[in-house]
Amino acid sequence: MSETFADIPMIDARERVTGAIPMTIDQAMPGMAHVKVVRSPVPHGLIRSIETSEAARMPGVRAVLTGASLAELGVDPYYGGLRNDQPVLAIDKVRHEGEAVALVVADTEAQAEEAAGWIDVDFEELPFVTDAREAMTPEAPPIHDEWPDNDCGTWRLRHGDIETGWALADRVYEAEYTSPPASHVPMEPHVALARFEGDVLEVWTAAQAPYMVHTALKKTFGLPDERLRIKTFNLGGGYGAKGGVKIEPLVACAALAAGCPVRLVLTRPEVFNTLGKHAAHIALRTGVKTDGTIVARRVRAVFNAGAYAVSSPLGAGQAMTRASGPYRIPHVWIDSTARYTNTVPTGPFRGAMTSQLCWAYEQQMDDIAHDLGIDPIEIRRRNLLSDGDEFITGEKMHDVHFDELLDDVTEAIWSRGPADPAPAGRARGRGVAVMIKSTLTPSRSEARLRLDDDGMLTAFCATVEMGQGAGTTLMQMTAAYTGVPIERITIPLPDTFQAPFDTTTASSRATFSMGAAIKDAARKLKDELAGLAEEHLTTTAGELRFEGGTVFRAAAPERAVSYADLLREAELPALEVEGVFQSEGGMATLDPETGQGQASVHWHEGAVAVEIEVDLQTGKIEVLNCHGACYAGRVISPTRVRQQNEGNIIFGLGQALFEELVYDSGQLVNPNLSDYMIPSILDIPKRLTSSAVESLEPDPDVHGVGEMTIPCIAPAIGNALFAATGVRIHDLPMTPERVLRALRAREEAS
Amino acid sequence: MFPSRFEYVAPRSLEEALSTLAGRGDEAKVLAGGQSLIPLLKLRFASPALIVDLNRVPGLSYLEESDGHLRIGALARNRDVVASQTLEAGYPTIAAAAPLVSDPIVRNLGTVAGSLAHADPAGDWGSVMLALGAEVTVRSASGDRTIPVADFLVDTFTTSLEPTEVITEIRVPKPEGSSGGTYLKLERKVGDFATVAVAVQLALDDGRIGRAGIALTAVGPKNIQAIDAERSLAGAEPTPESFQEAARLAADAASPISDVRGSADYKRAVVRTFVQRGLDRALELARAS
Ligand SMILES: Cc1cc2nc3c(=O)[nH]c(=O)nc-3n(C[C@H](O)[C@H](O)[C@H](O)COP(=O)(O)OP(=O)(O)OC[C@H]3O[C@@H](n4cnc5c(N)ncnc54)[C@H](O)[C@@H]3O)c2cc1C
Repeated sequence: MSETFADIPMIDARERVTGAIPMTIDQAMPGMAHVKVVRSPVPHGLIRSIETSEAARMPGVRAVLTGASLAELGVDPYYGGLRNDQPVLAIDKVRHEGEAVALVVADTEAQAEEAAGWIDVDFEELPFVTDAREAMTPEAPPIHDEWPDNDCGTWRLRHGDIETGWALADRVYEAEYTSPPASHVPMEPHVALARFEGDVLEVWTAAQAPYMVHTALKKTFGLPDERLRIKTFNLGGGYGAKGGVKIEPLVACAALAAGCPVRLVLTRPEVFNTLGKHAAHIALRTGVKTDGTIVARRVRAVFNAGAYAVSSPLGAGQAMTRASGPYRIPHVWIDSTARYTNTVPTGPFRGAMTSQLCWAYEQQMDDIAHDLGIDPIEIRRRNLLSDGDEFITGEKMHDVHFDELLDDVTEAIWSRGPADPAPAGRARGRGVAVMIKSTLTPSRSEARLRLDDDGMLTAFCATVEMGQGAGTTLMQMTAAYTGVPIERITIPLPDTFQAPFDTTTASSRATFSMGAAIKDAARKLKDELAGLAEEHLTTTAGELRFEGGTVFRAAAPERAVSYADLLREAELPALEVEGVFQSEGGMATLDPETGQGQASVHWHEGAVAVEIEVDLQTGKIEVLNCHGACYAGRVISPTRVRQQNEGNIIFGLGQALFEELVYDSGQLVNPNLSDYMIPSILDIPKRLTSSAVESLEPDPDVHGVGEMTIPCIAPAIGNALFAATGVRIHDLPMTPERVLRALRAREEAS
Repeated sequence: MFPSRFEYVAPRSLEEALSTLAGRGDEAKVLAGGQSLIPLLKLRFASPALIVDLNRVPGLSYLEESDGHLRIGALARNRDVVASQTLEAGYPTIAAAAPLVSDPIVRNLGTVAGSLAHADPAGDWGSVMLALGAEVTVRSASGDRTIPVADFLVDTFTTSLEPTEVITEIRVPKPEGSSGGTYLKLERKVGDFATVAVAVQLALDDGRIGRAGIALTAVGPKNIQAIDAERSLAGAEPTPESFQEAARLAADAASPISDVRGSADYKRAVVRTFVQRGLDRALELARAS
């Protein structure tokens, strides 16, 4: 049966805009003190000594901690989801500029900051490396002794036989493409509070994955589940920056050392120093027939993991499965690796491990089309995956809608006839890009529903609301699945003492996975209600209906009985049920030699087309028209799907056109919002639209929509630039200077 | 970061502000829109012992034309300049620049006078006022003086203002006869400081060029008046060749540095493009006026 979902605006939209929603940054714990962190000024160095005695004597100071003194606290000083390689505070060695070396706890933030200034660290500087490809060379300094060649995750995929592929090819194209490191820039910085209440450690944090924090802190402090409580509030943006574990171990250690509740809010430069986007170098070699059919593709992808692993060992593998694009290619060879460097650790970043690749394969697609004299839209149509096709991992594709997405976006931009002539000194062009992305697999979501005898329903789940509207969308789903009217439903903020396990709010998985868990729980709830209702439903004719908080037989709606009445009759104060979603397979199950297997429970699909104008004398690109589309399976809220598609494009415009973290001598030179800028409302294309493709199946999988257009925006612009001017930019971002240099170089060449 | 400790006074009259500064000017900073000063305090690039907040001083928010000048009071906000309907015709350079200064939030508070006093080489108003040949009226407890903007802007973050003085007004002479001008700014995104910007002002005198004003933003230690370019135009025919030559001379006058916004070479190339474009536009407006 297929439910109807009533689209409603975000339940707390007004409170969000007026700043009334509860956020971590606004929380206080009685008697709390404040933490300030001392950070490394050097990119790579041994810690000779740390002088803390002066800081400890400063007014208001309650504790000073260093990596060395963590041992005295009796905690496990290392954390990290995939590799246990990140110290709470640097131990003996620092691996990137901005790494936490010591902390001060004091009564006020100002006192903590003042005292932190008196901590004196003596470093012996080591040679450093900031580029991932250099980090692979034998001369590169080793960053973690236990990981030779700075290897932070290396994957290979062998599909078909690449030599056969080259032999089949009429032409072979080779090119390299790069993406720089970038920053998520959530509006709210990382913030966490911690206290030991009796024998319970309680941490309130702005995190996307309360249960990842839970798992990490269990290990740090050796605590059983019942002695660890993680709470999250509304997040002021995440985009991956607040995925996994970030400042929570540090803040909890500070609370333990100080013996009182503590709070830490990162400053903007510290946010820049906490997590970034993987810089990448992609070398692409593609063999095609003269009719444009791709027969072979080799990808060599190198990602910059930064100083600590975070998600990179897995991410390099996910990148591998996404590296050849949404195309049917019989012979594929992919090497994908992440390498440690002396830069800010990198991790999930909206469109993670996909944007860097889409930038490469979608631009090369247009070069191939141009060279073969085939229309860029047509060449894609000839190669895009369809239902039942074999993917490069060997899995059979299902739910595939690339053709429709391509039609949708090109129709939106091209149907308006030829581009208007550009004003003098400018040129206009159009471009398109399509992408494929796996979702986190395996993963698990659990939900608990409690129906009270007053008819109110509470859905406990650990999905984090970070502005994407997950709270409201899950509420719509809960209403549709349980038949309880939406105004009688509450979804409390995540609290691990109440909400069962959920992997994370990331990878565009919440609506899909948590939605499925809620659906499962709702099914159980309705079974129980049906049992209770048996004597009321005197007829067996017609299907059982659950609507408006009542249950009835379709043939006898006048006999409807309310859930509340059923519970009261049975003298049940409440009914509780749990639901689970669990996906299987994923990266760990792939054949390590060939990368063959089931990489993802389903695949995300997106496309973007743009029309741009280029100033031929300054190189500045302006996006005039932009349309994005995603495959959503089933749209729960048209409003929020549109907001995700368009929000993605705006977010991605920054990385396409001007965002880049710049390193000089191992130092991050622009960790602030005047040197590193992000798009604002005034930078939005004049015309920005989007759509979502739905399945025609009766009860399709809901697909996440949080990242489907972002990987496409940069290559679509790159292709439009090529269409407008004939120049091709291989390195992001497409700054006016890069564009002008390319234009001038071409003038000189001709 | 938190600012260092400071004392704060908010005088209710200019006299009161000036007498405070007369005693403690050396250790004081005047606060107008706060859009430059407050970030400086928070970064502790400035640590004055005393802040003299001008915002409660009445009668400084005006933007008006009289005795052949546009007079911009010390508390006229960028927002007021954007909103003014009367500038487009007489002062197109100002009208073009105002909406390009920062973003609406900053413009709500930031002042033109504060921008000049701050003397940031990436500030937009310095170039506009140089191109227009504007003057700054400053006052201390011992009296007024009027300083041409060209003498007022001394170096990076340095002006000829004495610590006991405040700017009371900016005076822009009304461009005479057939004149036109514009401001062109390249920014990474809306609200950014200029990668490069150029102010151009041109007056026609019997078909030939009369006064020409050209000034450059973000390509040197201060806003740069491209004097050689201006001179090459004065008295010349407004031809593509003379404009090209002026653009070349202006690019020579620039001394940009390479930074996250672009390389020095690139910035110089944009100066050249913008001066040429600016002159074309100014000529178009002058001929239409
Ligand atoms: C995010 C952001 C973006 C910006 N972008 C731009 C931009 O694109 N272009 C641009 O030009 N500017 C930009 N600015 C600067 C902005 O325009 C400031 O408002 C301006 O430079 C200073 O004006 P203010 O009134 O805020 O001065 P304040 O910050 O109050 O003061 C600045 C300095 O001037 C002195 N001062 C102020 N008024 C007087 C007076 N009447 N007499 C004597 N001294 C005085 C102060 O003592 C201080 O030294 C930006 C600022 C921000 C925060």
